[in-house]
Order: sequence, then structure tokens, then C-alpha cells
Amino acid sequence: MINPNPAIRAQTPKRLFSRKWFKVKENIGLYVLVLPALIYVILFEYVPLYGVLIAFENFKPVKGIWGSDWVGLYHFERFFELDVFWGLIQNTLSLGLYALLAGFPIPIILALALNSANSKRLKSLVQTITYAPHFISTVVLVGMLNVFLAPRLGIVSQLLNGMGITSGPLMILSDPGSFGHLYVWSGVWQGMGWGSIIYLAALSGVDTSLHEAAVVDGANKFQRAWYIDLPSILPTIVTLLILNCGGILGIGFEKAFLMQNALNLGASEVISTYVYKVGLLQSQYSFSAAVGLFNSVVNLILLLSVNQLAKRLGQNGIF
Amino acid sequence: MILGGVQVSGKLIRLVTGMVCTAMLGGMLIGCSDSAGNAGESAPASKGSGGETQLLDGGVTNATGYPIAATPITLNVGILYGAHMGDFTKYEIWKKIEEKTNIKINLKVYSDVEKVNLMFSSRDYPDIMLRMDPSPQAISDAVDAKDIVGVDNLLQYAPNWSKFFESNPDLKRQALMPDGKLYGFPYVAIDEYSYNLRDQWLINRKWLDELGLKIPTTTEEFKSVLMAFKENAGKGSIPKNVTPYYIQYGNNIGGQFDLYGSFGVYTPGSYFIVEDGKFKSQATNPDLKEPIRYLADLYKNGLIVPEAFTDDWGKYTAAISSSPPIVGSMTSYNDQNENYMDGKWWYPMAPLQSPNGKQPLIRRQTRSIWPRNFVIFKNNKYPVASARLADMLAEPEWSMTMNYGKEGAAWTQTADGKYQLTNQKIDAEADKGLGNYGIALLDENMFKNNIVNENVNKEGTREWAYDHIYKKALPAKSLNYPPVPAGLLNDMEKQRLLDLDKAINDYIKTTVAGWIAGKNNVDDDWDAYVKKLDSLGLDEYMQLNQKQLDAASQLGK
Repeated sequence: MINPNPAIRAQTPKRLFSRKWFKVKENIGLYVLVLPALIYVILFEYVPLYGVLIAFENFKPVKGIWGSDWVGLYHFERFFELDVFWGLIQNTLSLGLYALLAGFPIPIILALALNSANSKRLKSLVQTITYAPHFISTVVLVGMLNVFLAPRLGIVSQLLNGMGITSGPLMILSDPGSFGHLYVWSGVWQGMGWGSIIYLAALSGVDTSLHEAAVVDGANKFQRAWYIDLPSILPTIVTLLILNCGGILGIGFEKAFLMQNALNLGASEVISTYVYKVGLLQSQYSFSAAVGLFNSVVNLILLLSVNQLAKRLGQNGIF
Repeated sequence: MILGGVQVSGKLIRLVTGMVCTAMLGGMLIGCSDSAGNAGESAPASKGSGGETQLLDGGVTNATGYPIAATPITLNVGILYGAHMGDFTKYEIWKKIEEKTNIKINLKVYSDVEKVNLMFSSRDYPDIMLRMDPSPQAISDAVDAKDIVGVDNLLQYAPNWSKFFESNPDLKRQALMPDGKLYGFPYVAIDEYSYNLRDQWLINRKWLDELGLKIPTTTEEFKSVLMAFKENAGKGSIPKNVTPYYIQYGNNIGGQFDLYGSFGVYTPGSYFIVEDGKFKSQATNPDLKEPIRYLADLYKNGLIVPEAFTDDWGKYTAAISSSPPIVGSMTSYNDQNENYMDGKWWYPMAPLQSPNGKQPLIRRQTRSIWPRNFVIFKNNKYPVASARLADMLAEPEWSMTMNYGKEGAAWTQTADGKYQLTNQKIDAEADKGLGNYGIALLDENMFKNNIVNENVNKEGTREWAYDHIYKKALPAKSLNYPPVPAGLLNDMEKQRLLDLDKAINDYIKTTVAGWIAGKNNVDDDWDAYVKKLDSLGLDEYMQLNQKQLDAASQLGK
């Protein structure tokens, strides 16, 4: 409805602004607090964005970003037309999905279980043990896999052969079919303790009176975890799930690269390792940037759709 | 976009957008001023007027005689880290150079090729680079941008190199960039014993002796010897976890390629050869099926172990140099520590005669130089002093020290003025030589007439083995891809060649691995494999390579 008094109508935006400005002044401390983070994000996340331009040109360091020849979508077409393109997408996507499906629920289950544990000492012991692998570097982790699972002399092969379960060398390291399992479950082992921290933090915020009431009503531990704890941390879970979905195509380069060999290459060549070999080692920076940009766009689409889905299902999205 | 999940109001978003735009504008300005600055710098480096004073490089460098620099100068020199080379900065040679020339070498070691490529793309060059293995693209871009100083004009200060290039036009051609000019001083070590044979094929003679067996000469005998090693594991000096035949699958060094040669199929570490200037594929040669069948049979019998497919370079070197040995047979460039005559273990073996009756072949390498192991960048203020330094290092004694190591430790001078190699392993880092990480001028004449290598007469050494066993098994002419500069193809062609190269060679590597490991059968799959190579663009790959070869053969003409 239009305001009948024209004088007031004309003043409104100005007054609104001054009121807002007043609020800013009132909370100036908070703004100062957020300023460094804001500057950081702008400087290191937004300013370098102009670099994506090299994805659309034949970038030569000598000519610089503004001087290199413009080739439009050539590098994208080049990537899409690669014979290995679909193989790369399939490997990357299936590995990312598998890692998400296996790696996402386990920290939640661990956190719920730890939260329900009676013994404080047991709880902190288990926490420490499950955190520890997080601090092992990927190189060392892959080294451990190679030593334990070595075909003839690895401890696993020796044990299985000794117990008569298998005979002959263990071919798990060179088997394309096993690559995904090795990749994902070693990741789960390494990350579940660390991943559960955020859920434990969320669980500590659960209202204790709910639990007390449930105990009075005769609920057992499992029921309390299922009907009280889980719904309480659901917003946290959804937020993290959305963020994780945004990273499905962003399968880490390091581990896949280290675990590759001639026999499992069919399953272990993912987008990032391919880009490393063809892009970075051969100074094909434009191609690398194009693939990287493609990757980010797909991840963004995934993130937005999962976010939308979460909203449709009545949960809070992240925006 | 997401700002850490914080709820942001419309106003704030506008504010942020405004700031981002400003920042991006700032970025643009920075970008512009940066390139402008570089353009200013790319003017040719001043060489000083010379004239009566004879001091060049802006009044610093003597045109002849020593010290090279009249007043002390410092040059930043880049070099690539090599795991087997130790700590370059501890080498004594830098100090020796400084004493003689007044040039202090400030060494910067780059830990890997990625860092080198990054250095090139940020144009943050040292004054001089020794071996750094940048990608061919990086080199050709830098040459195009005139970031690298051409050395043709500097040859007047480098008489040794000037003479070398004049008297070796074929080797000079390997060093030319597409514009027909030279952009660096090379590492030259044209030693037939070194370049003309890739790997020796070694067999564990101690085990043979213990089992009362002879050195195998045919593929059949080889198999039965390996079987004997396997069956006698744990007896005598054969360990329980014996690896009868060690290959590092798919690798140029220590790979399975010499076994293909036994069946008369020459593969120089890849599946492509160059015969009389024509690029040819061995990947689709049906003769390849026979050695693959043989390898599959060895694998099935446990004579090749699964580690062949998973071991990396570190594990390969550990396995072949293990003491006491755990391997029955392997291929290796170097004599392994426990050579037969010294430690009574390893003995060189001729390539095996196969049932198909073809002449067994062993692999050779190209007679070639490393064309740009001493490159001068345009930011180097003393190009003449640098060229004179390169020329000094081409003197015989300096070249001996650069390549082999310190006099007394690596070589000694004989009474008649020759250089005798000690053939000893040098452990002290101070005494080490740079080998192909530095430059040296050791041409054929030097090796024939001035360097004394007693290994030639010592049974079981690489040199001896070359004369007595391998020379007759070499292919009549080189079939290897000759060294060519980058930049002979245009950008699009180069990129296409890279993509094809990766797709085709990965496919061959994985498929052959599957055949050897018994996952698939070479006879059943061969036709499908050839068809797949076709669909991957083998024809185009061959044409592009041929185009590059043709362009290279026109260089310098």
C-alpha cells in the first residue's frame, strides 16, 4: 500500500539507511572482528578468480593472462573429446560417491556410540585411538598399505596363506576392482575419528532434560540415541552432507596418484591425476585450468541441488 | 557464493560485490603493470663496449685469461635435485671454480620438476640453469619470449664449444631450437660403452654354480634356470623369498623391453621406433604376441612376481642392489655392487635365442648430447663471463672433474698425460662429480685417446660385456627416437600429440600388463586391441610424430 503522505515516503530510504548505519556504529566492534576474515576471503578467494580466464586462452606465462591468445572453449572441447573422458568421470564420480556413502555415516554412528558410552575413560581412549590416524600423512598411509598388502611378503598375504584362506600372492594392490574399496576404507579408517568431533560437539548441546524424561519413560540407550540425539544433530548432519556433496568430484589427487600402478590404472585414473600428468608436468596450464573450472562448476551444481533437495525435505539448507 | 555459512543481508552482499569489483580492478592494474615491467626488461642484456679496456659485461669480465671476472661476481645457478646425487651444495667443485674464476656460484637446488616449471611460468629465473628438466613447452615458451640468451653470439668467447659445434654438425643439430639457433651449452659424454647399450642383462652366477647350471642361451633354458631358482628357494644362498626374474614392468630401465628384443622385436623403452627417419609402431606388430605369451608363461609359473606391476623405482633399485641378492636375473644399466669377479655374484648374459630363430636384440641408446645443460637467462648480468665459465668447464681436466669427480678420487693423471678412471664408488659428497647434471665436453676422441678405463679388460664389467657380449646383439642402426627440440609443431598440434600420447601409451601399458598377469589372453584380445588403438587415434599420433621428425631433420639446413 502506498503511503498517503508524500513527505514521509520520500524520507523513508534515507531514514532506513541512517538507521542501519546507526546499527553498524552501535556494533562496530563486531564488524572490526569480522573484517580480517572478510579481507582474507576477498584477497585470497575472490581476487585470484580472474585467473580462470586462462581456461579460455592458450596461456603463455610470457604473454601473461591479458596477452595470451583467446581460444574460447577449445580446452573444454579438448577435454570432453578425450577418449578417456568418460572413464575419468566414471572413476572420479564412483569413487567420490562411494567415499561419501561409506565415509559420511560412520563418524555419525561413532559419535552417537561414544556419546552413549557410560565409561568416561573408555570414551576418551576410543576417541584418542580413532583420532590418531588423522595425523598420518597420505604418503605414509599409502606406504603402510603397500607394506601390509604386498603380494607375497605382506603381513595380510602371509596371514591369509598361513590360515589356508587363500593360496598364492595377494593381488589386491594391482586389482582394479579392489582399488575403490582400498581407497575408501583406508580413508574411513583415517578420517572417522576426526570427522566425529563436530558431531560430538553438536551432541553436547542436546538438552539433558529430554534424556531425563526419556529415562523416566523407560527408553533404552538405543531409543534415546535414535529419538533424541539423532534428531537434535540432524541440522548439523544436513549441513555437512550438503558441503560434502559439493566435493564429490574433488577426489584428492595425492592418494589416488600414489596408489596407481600399471594394472589398476583403469580404475585409479581420476580427473585430478590426469590433469597433473598432462597439465602440470607438461606445462599445459590452460588445459588444467579448464578441467579445474569444469570440476568446480559440476561441484557447484551438485551442491546447489542437494541444498535445494534438503530445503524441499523440510531441512535448513546452507543458504 | 557461500561466506562460511553466515547469513548475509542484501546490502552486505552489495558491499562485498563492490569490494570484489574494486579488488579485481586492482588485480587487473597489477597484471598490466607487471607485464609492462617485463616488457621493459626484455631489452637485450648490455654486453659492455669492450674496446681498449678489454673488460666486458659492463666492465667486469676479461675477454681472455684468468680470472674470468676482474672483480668478484656472484651468479645464481639453478639445478634439479637428484636422489642419487646427494647434496649438490656440498660438492667441492663450486669452490674450485670460484678460486680460478672469481665467480661465486650461488647454487639453488630445485626439489622437483614441478618447481622448475613453476619457476619458468613465473619467470623467476636464476642467472644460469644446469640440468633442470623443464617441460619442453616451458623451454620453447622461454625461448620465444627471448628469456633465454642465445649463445651463437657468445661462441666467440667460448673457443672450445665453438670448435665442438663446428666439428660435430650432427650433434649440433640436436641442440638447435626451431629457429635454428643455440640456446645453451651441452653436456657431452660420447662414450660408446655408455650410450650404445641401455641395460645389461645380468644373471646370478653364484646360484647357477651352486645348482650346477650353465648360463642360459635360449628362452627355454632361461625358463628352466628360473624354475630351478624357484624350486631351490631356501637352499644354499638362494633365499626363501627369491624373485627368480625381476622386472619393473613398463619401465625403460629394468623393464620387460629387452625380453621383447630376444624375440627380435625391438622396442626402445616405448613401443615406437624410428627407422630411416620413418616413425613406426611396434605396438601393433603381431610379432609382439610371442614374447608376451612367454612373459605370461613366466608369470603363471611364479617366475615373474606380482610386485613387477606395483613396485616403484625405489623398490626396484633396492631389489636389484640387495646384498646378498634376492634376485635371480634382472636388467640394469650399472654393474651391480657384487659383480662376478669382485663379489662373485652377477654376470652379464647375452639376449636369449627364441624359438622363432630371429636374431636376438639388446637395446641401445641414441648417440646424443644433452643440449641445454647450461642455459643463460636474460636477467644474467654477466653473459660473457657465464659463457667463458661454460668454456672453461669444457677443458679436459675440468670436464673430467665435472663429470666423474675430484682428481685423485675419481680419476688420476697418468705420466703420459692421460686420464685414468679409478672406477671406484665415491661416497664423499665433496669429491663427487655432477655427471649429466652439469656440463662437460668429453667427445669420442677424448674417450678413444685420452681416457683410460681398465674395466674394458675386466671380465664381467659393463665395458667388458659390451665388447664381448652385447656389441653383436645391437640393432644394425639406431631405431630410437632422436632428440628433437620442442616447438616444431604448433600449439594445437602439440596439445593433440600430448593427449594422444597419454591415451595410447596408457592403453598399451595397461593392456599388456593384463596379458602378462594372465587376466586376459593376448591371442583372444589382439584384434580388439589393435582396433581400439585405431579408435584412440593411432594414425593421427603417427602422423604428428612423423611431422615432428621431418621438421627436425630440416633444422640447421
